[in-house]
Amino acid sequence: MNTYANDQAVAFNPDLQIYEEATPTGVTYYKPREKIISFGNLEPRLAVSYAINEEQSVKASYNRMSQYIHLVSNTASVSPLDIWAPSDQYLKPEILDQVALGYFRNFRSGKYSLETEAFYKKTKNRADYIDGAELIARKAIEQVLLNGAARAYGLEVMLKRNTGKLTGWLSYTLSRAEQRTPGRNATEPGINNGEWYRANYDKTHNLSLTAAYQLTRKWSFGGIFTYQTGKAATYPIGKYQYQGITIANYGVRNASSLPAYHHLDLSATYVPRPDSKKRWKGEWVFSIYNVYGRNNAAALMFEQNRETGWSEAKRISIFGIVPGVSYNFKF
Amino acid sequence: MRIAMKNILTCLAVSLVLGGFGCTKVVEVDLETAAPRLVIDASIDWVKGTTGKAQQIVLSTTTGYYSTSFPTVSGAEITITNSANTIFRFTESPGTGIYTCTDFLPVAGESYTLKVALNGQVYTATETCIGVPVIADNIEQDNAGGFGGDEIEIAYYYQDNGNEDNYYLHRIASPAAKYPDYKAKDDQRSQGKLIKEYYSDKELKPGDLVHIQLYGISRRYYDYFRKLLAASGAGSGPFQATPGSVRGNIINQTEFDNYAYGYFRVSEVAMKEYVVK
Repeated sequence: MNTYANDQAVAFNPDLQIYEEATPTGVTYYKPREKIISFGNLEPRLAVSYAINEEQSVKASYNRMSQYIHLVSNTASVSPLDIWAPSDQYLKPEILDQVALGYFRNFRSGKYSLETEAFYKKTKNRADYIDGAELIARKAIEQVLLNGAARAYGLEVMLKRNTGKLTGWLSYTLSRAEQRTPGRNATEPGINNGEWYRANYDKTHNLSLTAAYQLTRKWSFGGIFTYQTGKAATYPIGKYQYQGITIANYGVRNASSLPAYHHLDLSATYVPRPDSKKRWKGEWVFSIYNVYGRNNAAALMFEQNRETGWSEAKRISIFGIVPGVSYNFKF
Repeated sequence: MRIAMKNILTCLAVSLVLGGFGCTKVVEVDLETAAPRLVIDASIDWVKGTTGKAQQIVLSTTTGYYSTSFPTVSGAEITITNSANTIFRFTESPGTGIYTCTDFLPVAGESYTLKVALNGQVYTATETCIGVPVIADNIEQDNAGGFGGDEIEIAYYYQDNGNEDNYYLHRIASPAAKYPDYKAKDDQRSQGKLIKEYYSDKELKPGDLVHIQLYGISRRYYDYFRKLLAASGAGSGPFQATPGSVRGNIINQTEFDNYAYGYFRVSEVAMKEYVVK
């Protein structure tokens, strides 16, 4: 483990108002299985529910949770690799407090149901990386991370049809997830001047419609439609030329959004022998993921074209339309 | 670690290509443009074997992301002063934003201070001239090189100084790309060794002239340039963190918040040319 002056692995350069990697002042060696540091946190939970009558109920809850590894997510990346960093003397465990208030109601003796919940959560010690940090394949991740906070609040509404040939649900969540990394003292600006800004995973609108239809005993159909506000992204607010190359000049972190993310998936399930008494029960599933082939943007990259030298934006999408056939069995 | 990285990258690339799901398309994005800001490209290059007397500094401003030209900045007074208080003046070729000097005196290890006076504001920066080893004469060519083993790849060597931490900037220009390729490297894993560096491009053809330039740079410039490469998109692999706005070492002494982009660096440069066989 590296050690640093004042125990600060990230140095602040006051002349330039930027954060830089601190130069380690030494290295502390630990034996295998030797304890480096230990943390202990209570995790109280409280939940109350009250049935107003047979059709309606309300619920309230409070949770405190601690997480000892940190997910350092990274907006520009399209890879499924996330960086997880364990807590140590530089990164303290994340502590989350959450309160939620819910209202539930059944209609027509349970044929339909409505679930609503409002939540607010607050996280302490959320790790945030400094501008221009390189996160992968580095030995000392603490050199590019600052401790910050996160908060999220929102309202979830879910309407369900529970019985009949056609079942399914419609769910909608309106929410806001933000993070803030203030300076460690009055002279530092922190990330984005220490102001709250959209977290990478913030999705203002998240709508999902799921339906299942049982046509016959052998055939059933399903469909899922998902619509989400695009992920937060950081876009250039200009560019300049330096030493023969064009440099995109980025604005405030996560101030923009990728285009909206939506797709429709359909499936048909065929059960050849629904009445079979055998142990072996099989079914065929024919599916199409992303029926209308929307190229949802996983990320936007801003770069200079190698042939023309012009600045351009490239959209990277992972899945187009994906048809599939599968055979499932139970025994 | 480097091998492991390469393996991960290969696996990822292969799975995306085989799966056929990966899709990249150039799209128009609505972008905002911030108010223009001064950019000072004060790169003093002392090419080995020359006196280094002729130098230039370029002033421009930021512009819209899709803009096709870069505004130049005229009318600045630019000087560089060494530790003996000798002043080197840079004069503009009128209207071009290019300021030249004909009597600069580069000395490795010497400290220099840049001063740019423009519209009543004074920008300053201080940097040390950093030396560089020569690029060895033997340049190797491998016609089955590059990431996928199907590109022309050239390799060149230089001797690292084992008595100090060194930082290098590589600049390679060839007809394969419209703009030069840069790499910023340290000697952490090759302290005191003969270092081998590669260059390959799928567009590289026999007969192409490749210009190789190796600059000695400071630790701070190394950090700066890596961030710059990320922001240029050139360093952007699938693992890139969000680039920010990249500040150099130039400080506005008159109005702190009205800072300039760019950097003042003083480097010795080793050069080599190679014709692809």
